[in-house]
Amino acid sequence: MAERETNRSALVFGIFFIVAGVAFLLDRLEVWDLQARYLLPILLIVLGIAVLIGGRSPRSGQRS
Amino acid sequence: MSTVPPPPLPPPLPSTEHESFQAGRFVFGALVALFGVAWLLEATDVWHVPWKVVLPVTLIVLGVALLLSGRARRGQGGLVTLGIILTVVLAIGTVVDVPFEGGVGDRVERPRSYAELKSEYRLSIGKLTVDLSGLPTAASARTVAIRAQVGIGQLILIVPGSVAPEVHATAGVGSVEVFGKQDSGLDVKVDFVPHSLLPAPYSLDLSMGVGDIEVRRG
Repeated sequence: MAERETNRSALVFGIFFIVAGVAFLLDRLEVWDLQARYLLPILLIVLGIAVLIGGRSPRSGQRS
Repeated sequence: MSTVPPPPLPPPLPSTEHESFQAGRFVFGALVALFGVAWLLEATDVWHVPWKVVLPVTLIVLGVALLLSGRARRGQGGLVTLGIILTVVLAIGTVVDVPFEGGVGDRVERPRSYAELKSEYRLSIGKLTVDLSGLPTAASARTVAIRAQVGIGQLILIVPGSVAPEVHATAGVGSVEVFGKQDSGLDVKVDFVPHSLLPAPYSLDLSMGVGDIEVRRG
């Protein structure tokens, strides 16, 4: 059963990095223009949420 | 005579965790090695590495590696840290476009003829002054495009007093002033389009990473 449980922080950060990477790639290829004035605060919000969700990971419970 | 039973062996590491931990280390090592190879190829002029694409793709690979190694209880800290650093670098790179060519210091460009005029001026860090006031006016019926870019510092464009150029100026962080029209802050853009039936003699495309742009008449 423990094998089926995933590390939630890895999942959240993994999805976040993929989405951010695709967004940055589209910006670099000039397919989509990232608005810099919105980008940094949104990144901070998403990173904060990722840390919060990751902090509620069931890792500690698995150790017992 | 009784035989002592052997002590129990420690429980083996769960295979999923072990494999995921190894996968995390493998991805981290592979990325570092590939980065070194790309850098070497760039340094030896064998391959011009498209760095603007490499970093976002690396971030995507990191994300996929994290998802694939998601069952591990440890070993992803390095990948997460590397991903956060990459995200911050890419975010700053989106706001601040710093050219790696052009040099460092203070530079004044003062072309006296159209033969001396360049289509592009670049400076990485410092103060770049492009003084066009010495150019002969009304030399051409078409628009002359000039691009000037500074990474960090100051960019000053001086145009002849009698001409009305078209100006598009952007700064990642800083201030832009074009003929008295000023804006400042983050991702600043100031455009100036002359109201004339004739084509503008110059089209100025100016960009700054961190710093100030000023366009004034000489």
